[in-house]
Amino acid sequence: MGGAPLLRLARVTKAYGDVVAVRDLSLDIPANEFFALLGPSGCGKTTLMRLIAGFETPDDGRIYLDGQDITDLPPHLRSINMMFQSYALFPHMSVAQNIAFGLKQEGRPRQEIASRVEDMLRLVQMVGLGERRPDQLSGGQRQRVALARALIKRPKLLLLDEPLAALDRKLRHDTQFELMQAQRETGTSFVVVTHDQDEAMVMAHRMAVMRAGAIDQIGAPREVYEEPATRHVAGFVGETNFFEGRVIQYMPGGVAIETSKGLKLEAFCQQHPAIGAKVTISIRPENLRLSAPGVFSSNGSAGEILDQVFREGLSSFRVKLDTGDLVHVRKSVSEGGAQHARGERVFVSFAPEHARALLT
Amino acid sequence: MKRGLTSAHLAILAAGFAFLYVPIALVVLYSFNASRLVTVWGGFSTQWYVSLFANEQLLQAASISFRVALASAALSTVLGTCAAFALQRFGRFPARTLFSGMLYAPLVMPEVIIGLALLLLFVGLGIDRGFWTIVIGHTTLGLCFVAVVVQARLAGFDRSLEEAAQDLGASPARTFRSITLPLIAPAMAAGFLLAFTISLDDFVIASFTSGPGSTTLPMRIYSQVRLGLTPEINAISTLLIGIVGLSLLAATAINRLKAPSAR
Repeated sequence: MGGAPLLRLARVTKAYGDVVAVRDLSLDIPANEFFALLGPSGCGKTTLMRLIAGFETPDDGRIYLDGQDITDLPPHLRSINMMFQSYALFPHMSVAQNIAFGLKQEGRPRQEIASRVEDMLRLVQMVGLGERRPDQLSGGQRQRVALARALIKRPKLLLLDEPLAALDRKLRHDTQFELMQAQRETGTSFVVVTHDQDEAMVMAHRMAVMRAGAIDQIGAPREVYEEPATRHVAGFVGETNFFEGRVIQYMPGGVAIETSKGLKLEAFCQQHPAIGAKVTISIRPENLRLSAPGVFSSNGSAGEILDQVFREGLSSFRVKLDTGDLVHVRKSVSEGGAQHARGERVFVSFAPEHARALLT
Repeated sequence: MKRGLTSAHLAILAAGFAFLYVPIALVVLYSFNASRLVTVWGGFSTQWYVSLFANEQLLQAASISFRVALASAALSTVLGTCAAFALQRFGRFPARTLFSGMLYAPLVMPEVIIGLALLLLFVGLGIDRGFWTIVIGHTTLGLCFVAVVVQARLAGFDRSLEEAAQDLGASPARTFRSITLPLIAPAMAAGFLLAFTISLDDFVIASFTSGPGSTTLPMRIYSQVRLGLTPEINAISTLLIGIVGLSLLAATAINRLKAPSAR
């Protein structure tokens, strides 16, 4: 990516009284990217979005759009638009009037407004529904009107606040792909704020995982999933198993730890913890092996199958290790060998390169 | 159990409505009485409505009452809406609780005391009492009704609608005009009609704050009744009941019909 990023946040801080919502945060977003801000509620992602939109002013730091400092610009002068979580459709206006609102503020000629509204209705597959009132629409239709209204000014950046939260499960799935398509067709950078890691994983080119007003990790979804930088990221993005312990030995490319229950485990590690330092090993359920007792004997523990759940082509097992730890193991049914009876004795183990030892 | 109303229910309902409305119904009924004697039914007639429109004094009082009601309702709507915004939007400002209490005090304070207080004020300031002093007096009462109705609407107002408008390029002033105002307009209209009817049928405050040549309709009715009840009074009362009733119906309908779900 050459040149300046589309959006740059430079050391932005925002506090409400004693509560610091965003702390010394820097972030670059290039043009034509689908970016997700992911984090639990209260992590500061909503505040960050309101700072970008201009509804809040940072206590410290600057915000740049296309190289221009917009920190002190009021929202109506920023070429950033936002899709609100509640959609915020104007109830006293028709669908077409809602969509046209942004262009009307620009004082565009009536014919241009009409034809661009038609274009947007086509983009969101709402042709012929322009005369409806918002309260005559279904949830999914409202969402699409809100999207059309926010896109009609061809903003450089579109902010989407929990865009799928108000939709039911089935609709959410389809809408994800519609949003991705809208992003591709318009070339606008989308910044989606969400607490749902599935949404971020499916839609985003890159995602930032936030915690306590700061970004823990930025990267492509797969990278974040496979190489989590912190324990929080590993636990928040996807399912995982944790083993806590102290470093007892350095291994090639990793460390060996001993848990409080005496289990010795090896894992890949990108950092350099001291001997005796507290670390957490994260191992994804699909990277755990289940074998008959006696086949493997290292980097794992014997245990007993507690139960099995079948879902979407995958078998999920809960295994109670002899150390007392409970782990989740996931196996693809088509791979075979995914049959284990309740109460069966197994050996649970993993390859060190599949696990990550994390310091924080 | 039988569905719907049993005869016992109907009887209780009828008794309740009778208690409330029989006196008013009698006024309306006797306004169509052909007899000059107020308590004797002498057949149907609309002659008192005809002679009403020849009664110069009553017509003049009615005209003053209407103009006072329009002016004070307009003033109440502006001031009451401002007060509602202050209470609902400005967060916690110093003495907010006091302001809120003072604003709504006229709702429960005896009108005699409000009237007396205003009289003392106008006399103390050396203001000649007349049309505008009644308007001011009625506005003190009307604006709290407007404030109550508008504040309720603002409390249920989704602020993200205003943010969305600004986000789409509307300045704060345009946002107020094209989003906020249309959405609270029904409440303002309902408040206006409430203030209008309150002013129209007020007797106490008006009699304290009026001066020579600014006698309102309720005051004129009262002074005529003291000289003896005439069917003309019944006729003008019937008209007044009709106007007040229709205004209140309209206020309710406006507040309900044009209330789009503020989601």
